[in-house]
Amino acid sequence: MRRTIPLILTFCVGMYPIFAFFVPHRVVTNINQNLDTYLVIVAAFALPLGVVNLVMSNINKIKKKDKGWFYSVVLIAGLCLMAFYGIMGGDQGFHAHFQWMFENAVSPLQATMFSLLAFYVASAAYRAFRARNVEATVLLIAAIVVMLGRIPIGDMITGGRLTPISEWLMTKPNAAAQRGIIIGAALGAASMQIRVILGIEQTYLGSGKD
Amino acid sequence: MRTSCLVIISIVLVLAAGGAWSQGMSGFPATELRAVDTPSDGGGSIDLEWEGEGLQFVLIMRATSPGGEFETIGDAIASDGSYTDMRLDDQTDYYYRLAYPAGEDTLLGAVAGPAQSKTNWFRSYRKNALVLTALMFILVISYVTQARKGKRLFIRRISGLSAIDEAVGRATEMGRKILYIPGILSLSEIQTIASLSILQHVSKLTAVYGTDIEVPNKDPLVFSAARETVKQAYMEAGRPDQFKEEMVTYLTYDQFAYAASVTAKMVRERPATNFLIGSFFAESLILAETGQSIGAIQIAGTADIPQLPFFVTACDYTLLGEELYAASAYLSKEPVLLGSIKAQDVVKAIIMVTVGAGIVILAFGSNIVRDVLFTR
Amino acid sequence: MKIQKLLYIDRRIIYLLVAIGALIPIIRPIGLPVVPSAPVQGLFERVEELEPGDAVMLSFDYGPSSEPELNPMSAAIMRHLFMREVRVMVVAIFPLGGVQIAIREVARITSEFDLEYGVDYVNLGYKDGGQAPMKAMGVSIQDVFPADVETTPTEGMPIVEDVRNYGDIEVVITLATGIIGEWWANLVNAQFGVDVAVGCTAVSAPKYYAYLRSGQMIQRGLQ
Repeated sequence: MRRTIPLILTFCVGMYPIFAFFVPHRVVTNINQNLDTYLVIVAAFALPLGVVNLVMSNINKIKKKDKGWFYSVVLIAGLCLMAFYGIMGGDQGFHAHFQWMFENAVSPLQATMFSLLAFYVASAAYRAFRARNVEATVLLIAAIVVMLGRIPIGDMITGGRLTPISEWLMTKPNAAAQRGIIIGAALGAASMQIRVILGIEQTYLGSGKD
Repeated sequence: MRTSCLVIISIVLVLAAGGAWSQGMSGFPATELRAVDTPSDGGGSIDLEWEGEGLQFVLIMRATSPGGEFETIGDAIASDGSYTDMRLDDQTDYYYRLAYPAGEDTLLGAVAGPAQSKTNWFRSYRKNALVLTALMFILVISYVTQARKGKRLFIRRISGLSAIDEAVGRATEMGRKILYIPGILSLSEIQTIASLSILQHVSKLTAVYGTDIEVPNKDPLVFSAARETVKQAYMEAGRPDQFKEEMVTYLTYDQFAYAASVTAKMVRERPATNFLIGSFFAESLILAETGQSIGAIQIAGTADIPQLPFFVTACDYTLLGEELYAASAYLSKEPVLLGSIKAQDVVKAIIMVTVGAGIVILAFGSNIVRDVLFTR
Repeated sequence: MKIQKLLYIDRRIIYLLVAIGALIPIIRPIGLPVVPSAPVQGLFERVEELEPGDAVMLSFDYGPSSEPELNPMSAAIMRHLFMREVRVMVVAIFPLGGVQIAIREVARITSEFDLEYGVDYVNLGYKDGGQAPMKAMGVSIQDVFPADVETTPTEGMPIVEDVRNYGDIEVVITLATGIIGEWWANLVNAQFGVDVAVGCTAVSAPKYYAYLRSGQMIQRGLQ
């Protein structure tokens, strides 16, 4: 029973949106919309589970005075502070302190992490573009054309001559390759979804065999 | 009752006659107005069609009785010949007429209707999608049935999946942990489900070899599913005592805070093997490059196309798109699962042939294949 | 030998070069001309085609990490829309920070114009659930957003009363990171037929070309 009921539920909940995709009747679409709403509710219920785990593991770290335990204190303090002002500010989180923390802590920290990408892209590109063989050389040339064709300094150096070539590379070979992978991946996903809906694939259910 | 019927009929006739006269007037750009329920929709709308010429604007007017007050609900270009009225209650009679402002006068067209909007039972423009969906289901079921009967199905070697044993073995030899990152999207993303299948296989190996594994999570639903998956794998491997809840942890719901935490873990704890399998976005390269810099063997897998080049560059093995979805079948070698892969390949072959034929036919000037395949 | 050395440069030297490259234009702006690409030009022309009073949905689907790339796009698009006297409905689907950015950016740009809130534009705020509210807005926007970002009921607001669902919207413009841009294309364009434009970070641009070429997306965004 521990597996049968979830499998039946999966089948029903998995088949229904497929059914609703073809049936526009209001009765059917209303139920489908409710299913979407339930998904949001279930996800919201799962969040405290994660938060509890996070808090417990960090409290344990503090208790045991593990290496870097002070960072756990910062984490829990930050979590409590943001949550407190978030709740105080109503459902859109408008408390002035919340907004201040968002602007002055969350925002710069996130921007910093994202901007690290520039460095990582450069080092990864350097490794990929090293012209050690024909394929890498083709990759290198295409990359130079695309990059120069899309930035102002490239326009200045080449008088805009690389822009149409860059656009061609993006809209033709790039889009064609992307589509090939998209179609393959979409079919793979569809096949996987059918396996899940029909109960052939059960790994996600974790423990508890009949 | 009889009198009121006669009055209504008279009004309709007079209006119709007036409309005919109006249309007969020179310069009225749209005639033969028809109002019908919009087909294949969820209700609440009526399609209007007329014969029209020229670029003049016509006003669209609506009333709930033929003799009632007509209000302007929109406008259209006469030659467009159609308009969809979408603000309606179902099962209510609506009457329409067109009006054309000609100088100071407004010429009125004939009244069309009554028309009622209604909610429909089938989106006929999705017939092709229905056929393909049904075909996919039928093929999966038939190949799975064949597989159950013992038919052998071949699946090509996928090097990324074949390398899993080697990667786990390396971590065991080095006495270091394995980091398994299941992507950053929730369980509603099918890539995450595929990732959990691989996680189960990896966890079984770590249970058998006694290697340490850690699964940091961004999504709370994935966190609880991943914990169950690892726990189950340790039980199936006969080592339930070795399972520790700390193996599967929750970090944060924030994408970059998650990336920061995981990369910090990589630098501090220097895992021997990193699995980056699931749905990734901008954090993919931050994770993969950090893993590369610490010299970990890295196996990645995603169907998020923009991240594939990053993984190919920074990781030792990458599962590309559909290879990720084939993983559970490949790793388990269960005939039933292999059957569904076979069905997927057949559909892919059908699509390839159709697209090829479509290109050739389109080159000869016919849109027939494109029209058959088009859906929304 | 020298070429061999070039093939094995230490990654820290590469990082240093990137840092220098990024710092120079910040310390001393070079002032290079920006030439719009074809997709950008296409979106510009689509906005030019809009009539005063047409409705556009603008979705803030990015967080603080992408602000440097996407804020200039949102500002340029909003200015263009308001100059054309197009009505703008602002929403946010991205969970972490999308609504805060929307509040700030919408306030900044609308202050430059003589606009009436609730008539010319409205900020409906954030709705959780990703694809779920996107689908539901195909039936009724007001049902998905019974209150705006300031928790004022949307009932009675002329713009919300008038623009009931995607049928009343000319274009959906999303400024998106991650998968949200694809959701708009796959769900809203494919199922409701409304034009979708996406302004994306550079790293996501290649994937959108497949949608752009297939007509599922009108244009990519700004350069």
